[in-house]
Amino acid sequence: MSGPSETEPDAIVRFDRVTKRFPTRKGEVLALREASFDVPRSAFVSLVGPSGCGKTTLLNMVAGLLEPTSGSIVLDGVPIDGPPEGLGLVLQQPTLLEWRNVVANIRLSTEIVGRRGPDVDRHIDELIDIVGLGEFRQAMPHELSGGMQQRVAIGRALAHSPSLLLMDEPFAALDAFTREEMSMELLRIWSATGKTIVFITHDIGEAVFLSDRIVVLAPRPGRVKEVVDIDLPRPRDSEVRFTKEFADYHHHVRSLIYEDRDCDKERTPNGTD
Amino acid sequence: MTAATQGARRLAASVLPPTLTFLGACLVLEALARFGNMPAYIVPAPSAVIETLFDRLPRILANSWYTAYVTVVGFAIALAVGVLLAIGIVSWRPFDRAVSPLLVVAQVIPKVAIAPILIVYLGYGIEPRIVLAFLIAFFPVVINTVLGLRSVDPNLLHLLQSLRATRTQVLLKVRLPNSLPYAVSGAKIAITLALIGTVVGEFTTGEFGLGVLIQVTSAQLDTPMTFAALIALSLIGLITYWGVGALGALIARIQGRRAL
Repeated sequence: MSGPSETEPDAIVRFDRVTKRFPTRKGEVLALREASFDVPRSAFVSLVGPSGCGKTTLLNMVAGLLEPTSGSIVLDGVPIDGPPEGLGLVLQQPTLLEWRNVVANIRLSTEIVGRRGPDVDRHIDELIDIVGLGEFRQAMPHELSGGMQQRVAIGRALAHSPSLLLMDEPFAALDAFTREEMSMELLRIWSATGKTIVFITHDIGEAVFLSDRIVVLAPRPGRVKEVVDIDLPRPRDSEVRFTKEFADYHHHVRSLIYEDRDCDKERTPNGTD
Repeated sequence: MTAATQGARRLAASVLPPTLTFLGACLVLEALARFGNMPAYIVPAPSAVIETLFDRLPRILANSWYTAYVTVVGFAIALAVGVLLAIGIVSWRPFDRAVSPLLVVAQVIPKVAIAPILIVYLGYGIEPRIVLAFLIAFFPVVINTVLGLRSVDPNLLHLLQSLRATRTQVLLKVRLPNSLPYAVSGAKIAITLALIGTVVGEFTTGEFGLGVLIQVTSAQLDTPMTFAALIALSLIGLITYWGVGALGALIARIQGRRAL
């Protein structure tokens, strides 16, 4: 398990000693301390760690919804200052518009960024097939299962052709079987579209299965514990989960997370983020 | 069981109990009027009321039309003004601060108390009655629509923010459509209130309308006619309420939403 090279020649996102403090009533809270890592272009990068390690804070800073207290985040060579162009966001809940069908829900992001025309329509049409909803174009959200609703949300995040897809625990609300199925689907979508994906999860197995690179984060204060490059062959199918290499990666990431928890004697009861 | 018979059963289950209860009450009244030695100006027999209703239908219909017209116009203005106020309150903080407390004040003033002033300002025509119907009806529209405009999933707002959506885009594409079910339930309350406002207006300023008919006939101890007017009034209330609900359901259906 080799560490990553210090600087990536072609990084789409570069985190450089990113620190974030939040003011609270009891004084400042250090949410993230000097986080540095790269997201290579077209790579699948997962952020893994327990609650309170700053995963969502990192994501919100890339999305331009939060500003780092110090340090910098550079996207495509440009420091992030406000929501950047070319970004797709998928959250834990699909948050679809219940009065729009599948096509119209996916079209929302193109409407917001002001793109229309036959090219856009064709692109959306292809996208619906890519996310596996070809037969449900006219279906309303309440007629779809949780997994299918999340496919619509992924379609919406891709519709305006972003180069970077940010996913904040997109499968956390799904049952275990749907979740595994969606992991496979996501790999298929990823290879079909060639997007860079930054993926947040609590699930170590999911992270190892999906990722080229896992950024392991530790809590209180949130910080990068280790960056682990996952060198498993692609394309991957579910069988890869039963190989020795997979188990080794899984074990390594898990021990990184748990050695930190074991030394945390004053651990408070499990919170959620 | 076919869907049709199932539907018929469900309809029967919802319609039969209140109908039977109502008919039972009518029977008791009828018995009281016929055998209870009660004068007709206190307990008119339901049969006499029905008779009156049909005998003097033109007069009742003419007044009903007038009352229904004022109610619907007052309601329509309340709906339009209510939704606009709600949009202003949600979109512009200073407007919210300046107007919301005054709305509450406007709401707690008993509308009957305003009627005499409205006559001073607007005369004895149809206008003060429409204004009264509007005044009494707009509040639930504002309150409900504000709630609907505000109750958008914060995660969705986050997502729109990351796409650099403008406030107008968020309002038109998300907040307004999101508020539809809320606005409809506000409108359902408003239409019943508008009818109350109309009758209050007719009591104080009226030349025409069921409110006037009720006042005149009760002063003449023409109680069967008063009851006939009351029946017409309840029918107007039921039909307009049902109409507003049906209109809301129709919009929801066209948009493919779940039933409101």
